Amino acid sequence: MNWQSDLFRRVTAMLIILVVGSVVALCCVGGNVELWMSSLGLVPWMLALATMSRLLMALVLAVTLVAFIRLILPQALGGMAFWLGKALAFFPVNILVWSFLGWWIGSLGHPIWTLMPVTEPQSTLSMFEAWARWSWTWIPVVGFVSLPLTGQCLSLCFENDARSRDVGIDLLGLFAMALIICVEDIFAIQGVATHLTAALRVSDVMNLAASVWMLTSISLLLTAILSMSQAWAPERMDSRRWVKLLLGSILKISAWCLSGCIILPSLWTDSQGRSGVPGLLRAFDDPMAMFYLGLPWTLGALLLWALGRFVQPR
Amino acid sequence: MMWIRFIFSGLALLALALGGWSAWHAGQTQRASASDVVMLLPGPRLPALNPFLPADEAERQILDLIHEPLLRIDREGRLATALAEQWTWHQHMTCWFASPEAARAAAAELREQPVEKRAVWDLESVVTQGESLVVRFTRPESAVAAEVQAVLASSGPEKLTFVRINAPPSARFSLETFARHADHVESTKRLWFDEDGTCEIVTTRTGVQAQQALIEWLSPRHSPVPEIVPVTEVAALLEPVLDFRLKAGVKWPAGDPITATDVRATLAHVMPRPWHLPGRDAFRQIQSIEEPDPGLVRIIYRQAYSPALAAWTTLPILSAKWLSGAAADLTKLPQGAGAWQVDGSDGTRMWLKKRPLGDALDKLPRIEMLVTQSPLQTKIGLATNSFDVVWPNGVPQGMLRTESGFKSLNTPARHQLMLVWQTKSPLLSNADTRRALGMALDREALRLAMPGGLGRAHDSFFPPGFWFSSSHRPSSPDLVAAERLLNSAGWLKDIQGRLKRGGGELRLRLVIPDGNSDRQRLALALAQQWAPLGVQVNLVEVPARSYFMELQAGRFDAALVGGELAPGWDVLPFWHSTHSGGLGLNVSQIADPQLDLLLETLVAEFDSSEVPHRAAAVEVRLRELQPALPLFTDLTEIAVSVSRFPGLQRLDLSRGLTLQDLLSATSALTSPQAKLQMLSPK
Repeated sequence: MNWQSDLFRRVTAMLIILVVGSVVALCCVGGNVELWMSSLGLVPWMLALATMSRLLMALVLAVTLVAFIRLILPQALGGMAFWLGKALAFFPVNILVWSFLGWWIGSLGHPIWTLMPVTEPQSTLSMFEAWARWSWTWIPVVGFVSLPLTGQCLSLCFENDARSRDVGIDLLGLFAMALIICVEDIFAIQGVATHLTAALRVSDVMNLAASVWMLTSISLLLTAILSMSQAWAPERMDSRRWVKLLLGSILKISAWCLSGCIILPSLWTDSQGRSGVPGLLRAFDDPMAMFYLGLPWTLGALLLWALGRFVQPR
Repeated sequence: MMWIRFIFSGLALLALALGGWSAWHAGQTQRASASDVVMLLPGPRLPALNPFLPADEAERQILDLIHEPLLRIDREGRLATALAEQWTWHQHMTCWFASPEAARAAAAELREQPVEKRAVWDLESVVTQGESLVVRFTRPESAVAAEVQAVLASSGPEKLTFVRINAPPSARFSLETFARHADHVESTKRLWFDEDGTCEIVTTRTGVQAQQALIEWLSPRHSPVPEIVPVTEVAALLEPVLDFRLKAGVKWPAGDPITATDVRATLAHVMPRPWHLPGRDAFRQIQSIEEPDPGLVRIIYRQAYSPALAAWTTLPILSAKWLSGAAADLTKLPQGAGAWQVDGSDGTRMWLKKRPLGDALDKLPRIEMLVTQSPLQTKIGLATNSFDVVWPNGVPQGMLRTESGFKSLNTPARHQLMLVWQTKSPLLSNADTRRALGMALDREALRLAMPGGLGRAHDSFFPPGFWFSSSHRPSSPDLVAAERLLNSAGWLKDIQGRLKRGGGELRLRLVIPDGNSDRQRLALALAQQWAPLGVQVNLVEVPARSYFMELQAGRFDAALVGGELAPGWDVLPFWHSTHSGGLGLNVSQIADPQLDLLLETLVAEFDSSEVPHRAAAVEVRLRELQPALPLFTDLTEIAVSVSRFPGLQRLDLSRGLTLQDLLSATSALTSPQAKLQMLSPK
């Protein structure tokens, strides 16, 4: 693939994303163009920038971590690393975060600044303390987004099937976006996710449209940055291979859906005005029990994915 | 490409190191001891802080920090100084004469009396004001006024007639105009109004003259002319006077001194409004508020009523200057004279800061009050020790119990619940029957029937925690003794175990207000406990709106009656015979001459140190008569971080914890706050 065709594909994909995002945002405001235009404020873009920065940091961290692991890991353990990575990617990130928070806050009594009901004013802190506090506002978010991403990158790194690897790399951005929406929401950090979930919970169409714009902008940036493989290029295959490919893909997608179906409801769970509250409150009582709750989902997703891998032609 | 991998690895390790360092730093973070005292309030909104409309105990106590009354109740439950550093009761006797000369002659006659005699009279001063002569006694209940009047009789004081006009409130303006009119201003000496519009005029005219003048005045202005009745005729007007000496240098945050004008303006603002005001009845007795000297507030009452003093402990004084420009409903926060003032608010948080008053508490940090938006935030705040004070009704049940750093303490009681007997009921007219029913009850088990078990057993007809309170412990249930008493009262069990007397069974009509599940639960618990005795209960729910009318009409045998604990020792309206018969608060219909006498003596007792004895006598008589069975007082808890308030151990918490007390416990070394006990003049 030469650079002209790559540029053409990227521009085409970006245009498609832009059009789709615009239409969805327009639908959110009921087709009202005036509202649609006014939802394009400066604040949403700043939030999008913040989220994008965290996303990129998480991606960079994941990639560098994988590079480091690959450096120190014997080649013979590649298969094990592949499945471990996949397990990490499939582990529901919300359960992972809740377990951490249950342990960190509930058991140790340590702070997560974005979740604290009350903090000392910045003016009373030294520069060093202020810097440490600032870094601890976003580092947990980046860390928890990068964990599943690292798992996914690790499994892709040791993936033998080129097509699967290419598809995985292509969908890495989408995966990262799904992760950051969930993680930002749990950590209640200012960003796209908090904006989106708040809009969803109170059915605020203007903020919903603004959130769609933010997601669109992030997607545009990801499309521009991440490599675009030829995974979707047409290939000559007989009907039997097509069926196998289709069945395998369905099984693999099901694996991701299974992993995601425990995450997505948390965005709407709102008995007390916040998402994930019941789950998180349970995690405070017993963080490990919360962690174990994620294992069946992970194993189920792994099983489906393994079946898909088995069925799909190499 | 190896070097690229090393760079990647370095980046990853650097990122991990940065994350580890910031996590370690976060883990090491501890709240500074000088940081704000953080208080979690019951949400969902911050309190409005209207000093006369507290929504709950938390708001009441915050208001108590911001605002200051003239007097306070201290930790030991005794009267203590606040804005006023001293109080004294006096009595004024005012006589009117035909001319200023006659008044002066009468004054001279009094002054010529032997010194010994004047000393026996407790005579403090004799002053003439135009045609009037004001004799000031040092004791309000001075019984020698009659002797003084006898001496003055030779000087020919004018007779004073009390005229009562049973007018509606709409006639008030006409009557006020009458009193100011040139033809009547000379003769009209006093003009009083009650809540219902009833007016009393004190005039130097005779009853007939006054009646005629009033009819002539009112007939063109008010139709129909209200009933006008001359009540009594006296030679002098006796009025109790309460003098407050304000502390030197007490000022509003803006720097203006606090004066009698502020006291007058506060009452003028609050009295016409339907706000809840403990001691409102006592404030209604005020004739006027004067400032004879700077720093002196003189309250002149219409009649002798000693509990009026205690009412001043609950009235936050507001600035007259501020009130003149404030909205009628106090939508804007009024400035207070208390030790704390509001220092900002942002919707979910509000800060209080200590006013620099030059006392030991000036160095206290600010108080940050907040309401959390979710149980999660509450949980996080508790887990990370972010809160120092938590009002548990803002926290989901059970959440606080798992937190080890907090200690739950009780706040002072505000409400009381009684089981009132209808003493005129054929079933309960015998005091032994009533006593037996009380003896059969297990108060502890009943307390657990209260919501969350939040009730304090309280077995007294007076509020708990004051210097005049009695501390009776509820007796244990004694079914055998109860049955014996019932038998002696003629109640015997039939074969089915039901109590009967003369063919009729002991079936009580127990009345509770409808829609109140707590009362219903308690009533069922009562019925359950009486069942082994053979007492049947008909539980009747009455519409809450007409509940009191039902009780006044006497359509009950027993009723659960709750009420706010009044800030004083006046229980007269509940048990005096003049308030029975459907006319007042004495719904038990108890009528006992000895009790009446004791109650009257109690409200006429102006010596605070004597009040406990008088109250004890009333209590004993009430226990003999058994018009009611005191059950509980309410219980509000406050959870306090033990580490933040090391001085908590030295506080006497028997009366309940207040924020005022708590803030003095931020340091273990802080010496106890010396509050000077006010002594009544001997």
